[in-house]
Amino acid sequence: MSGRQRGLIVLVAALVAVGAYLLLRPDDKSSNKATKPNSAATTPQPAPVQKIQVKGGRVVGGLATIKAKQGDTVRFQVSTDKPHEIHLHGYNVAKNATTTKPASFQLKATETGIFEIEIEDTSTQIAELRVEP
Amino acid sequence: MTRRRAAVTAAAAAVLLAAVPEPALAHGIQSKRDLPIPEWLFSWGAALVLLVSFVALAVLWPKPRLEHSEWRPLPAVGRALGSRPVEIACGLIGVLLLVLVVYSGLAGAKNDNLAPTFVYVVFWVGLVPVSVLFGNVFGAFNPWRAVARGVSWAFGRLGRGGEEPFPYPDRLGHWPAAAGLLGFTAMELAITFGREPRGLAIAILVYSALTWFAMSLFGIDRWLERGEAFSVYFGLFSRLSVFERRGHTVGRRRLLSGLTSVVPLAGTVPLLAVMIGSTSFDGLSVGQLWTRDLQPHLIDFFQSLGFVVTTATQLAALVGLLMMICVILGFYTVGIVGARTAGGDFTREELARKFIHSLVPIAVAYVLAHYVSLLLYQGQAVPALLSDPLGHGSDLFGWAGWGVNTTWIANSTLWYLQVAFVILGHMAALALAHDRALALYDRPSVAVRSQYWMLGVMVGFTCLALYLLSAAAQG
Repeated sequence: MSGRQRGLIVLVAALVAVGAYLLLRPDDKSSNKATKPNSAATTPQPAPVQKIQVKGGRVVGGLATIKAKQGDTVRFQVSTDKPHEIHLHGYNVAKNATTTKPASFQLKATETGIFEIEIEDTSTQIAELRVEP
Repeated sequence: MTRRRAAVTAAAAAVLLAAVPEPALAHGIQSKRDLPIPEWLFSWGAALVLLVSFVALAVLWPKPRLEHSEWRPLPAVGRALGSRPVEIACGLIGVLLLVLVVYSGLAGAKNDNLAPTFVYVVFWVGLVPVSVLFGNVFGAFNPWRAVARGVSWAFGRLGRGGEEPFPYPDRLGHWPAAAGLLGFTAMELAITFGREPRGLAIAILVYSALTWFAMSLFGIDRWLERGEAFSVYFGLFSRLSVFERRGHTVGRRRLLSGLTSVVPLAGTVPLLAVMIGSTSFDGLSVGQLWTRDLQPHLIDFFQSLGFVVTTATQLAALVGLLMMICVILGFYTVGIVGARTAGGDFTREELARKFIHSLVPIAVAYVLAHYVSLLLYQGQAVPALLSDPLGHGSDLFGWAGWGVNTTWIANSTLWYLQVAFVILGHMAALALAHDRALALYDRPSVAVRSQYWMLGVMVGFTCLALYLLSAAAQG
């Protein structure tokens, strides 16, 4: 195979790659337009309080995921069968939960990313907070 | 106008104040994880992997080009870098850091301690790109080597030097290094003891003792070359670099040619499986396949055996880690068994060893793609931690107040970086496997057929890397 043929193959491949990228990439503007009027039309409803249950040092039903959009107010409760300190990493909020009173969290999701929620004394992860832009 | 400017300044000050982090409660190393690569980018990345692979088949060179490495010394700089005083200085720095980390771990607080961040971020992750770019830097700073050489020099002076008592057994090969890395990654990913500063310091002391003992049995250089986990680990990565030290001079070699001279031993294949499998497990463990479908059942199982929940969780992670290593090993073996059907007179074992060096760039890609944000974010904590290594509130250098900015890189930038690392690793691996096949088989047609299998292996590993980083796995 000549150098020219090789060059051609690489060129075609590069074009295919760029084409596929442009095709696959979601259009930011249109997706924003689609979602924004909706959220603006309805008055911002407070998201329901997500409840997480801890039993015997473990989370019931596997790791919980709390999803939020940047700027939302996030609210969740952790109820436990033993007193525990519950810690949300990154946002660095710690609350105590007792057997009668769950740990209630309320915060503004300012930073995007995935943040672990742990039982502090045993470093056991029970949930994650996922903030998307 | 001035009032507005004042308002802006005040607002900026308020933002800055808000950005100054509160003292961290966590002893965890990482406070935040990246959002996963979106599905569309994952599919595009996977398609690109296939495209790159087929183009590579068409355009890669027809004769082996990497097998014999030319090496040319860097004139003045090369000799200066390789000189004895520089070697001694680097060794001293290495020993100093080792002592500092162990002391911080033992005497310091549980939180905001230098030891975990230094070991798991600066050393374990940071040295990977450094090795790939600049060669075997760890070799120069290796504190275990420095101490052992110092001691043996002193003994030589006293006239008590001599031969090592035992020859290094061939059957041992790279097995001690594989076991060492497995132990380290288990501490990082499964056993919480190893994440606490104190546990980490104790582990370092135990490992140091074992290392020096083994060096006294088999000789310093032999153990560094085969048994000492981190020398072997960073040594393999440094072969991707164009810089290589020979004797007392640093020189340059052709890109990728350093890897063809890897001498595979017993245990080299499992070693690579540990390297790739451990990173894979770290990726798997944040996905739903693990957290919803596997982990709860494993924890239930270990609890039913009578373990308390924290122990059961650690055991479950250990099983997951071993499982992932076996998956990687199994997948590579399938590729090798397939490549054998192409022809040529090699046993499975021989063939597996002949191609193992081509997995090194893939291992690098896994590490870089997986930990790039850890390095870029948690790496910023290092000055503050150095200034207050024990976490007792001291401020030796005045850096203790330096915060960590976890928003300076856009999510999308990280995604593209991750895809780029994975694709680059894939290309390097393909080139190496291709070159080796050309050198190995007499008939080009057999070389090409064997490469279809290796291509399958590489595409599998690379797509797994992308998958684990993507929303497809993390939901």
